Amino acid sequence: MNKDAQMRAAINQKLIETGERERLKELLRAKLIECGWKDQLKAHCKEVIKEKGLEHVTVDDLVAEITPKGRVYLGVGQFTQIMNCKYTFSGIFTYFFVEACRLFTKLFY
Amino acid sequence: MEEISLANLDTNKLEAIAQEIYIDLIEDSCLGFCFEVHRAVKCGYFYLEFAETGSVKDFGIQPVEDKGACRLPLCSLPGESGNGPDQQLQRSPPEFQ
Repeated sequence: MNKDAQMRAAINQKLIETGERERLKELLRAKLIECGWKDQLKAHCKEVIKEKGLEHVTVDDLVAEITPKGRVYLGVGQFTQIMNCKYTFSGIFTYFFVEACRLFTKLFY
Repeated sequence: MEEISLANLDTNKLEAIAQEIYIDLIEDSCLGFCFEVHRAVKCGYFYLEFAETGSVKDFGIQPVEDKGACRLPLCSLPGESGNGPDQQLQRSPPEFQ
């Protein structure tokens, strides 16, 4: 395992051990709700359920349809474009990055 | 485990690490949302969340029928025989007769 990979693994482990990963997750979820990401996904869910039928929709159907949309809305997978993403949620990563840096400083400096 | 220090990490690497964690947490959130929705669908309260934006008919659920006036004894109209203990109570107030 090279040094970078070791560093990543160590950071992840520390975040989990201290419970900070969970806290970051809750912070991110609150931000996503606040900015309307969840509402966008709800609207899309409604379409999926209408198409598949209330009685027949499965978790797999929802995961297959909703997860890619959730990523696209946030510009995930196009890292260089996240900061300039045309979607309204482009500021989310900036917010997250600032919080993450504060956390790293607290845990590792 | 040796102590780690971020002192040697430049901003790009820090950003890359933050992005990995970010993507991971987004995936978690998406999955959690899917399970939430699925549970709401199977427990029967999913359409309640959308009542303001649509109708239950959108999901193939028939709305509750209007069955007309209540037929319980205490709700009987004046003059009709009822089964309640006090006939007087079954009459509508004078202003409605």
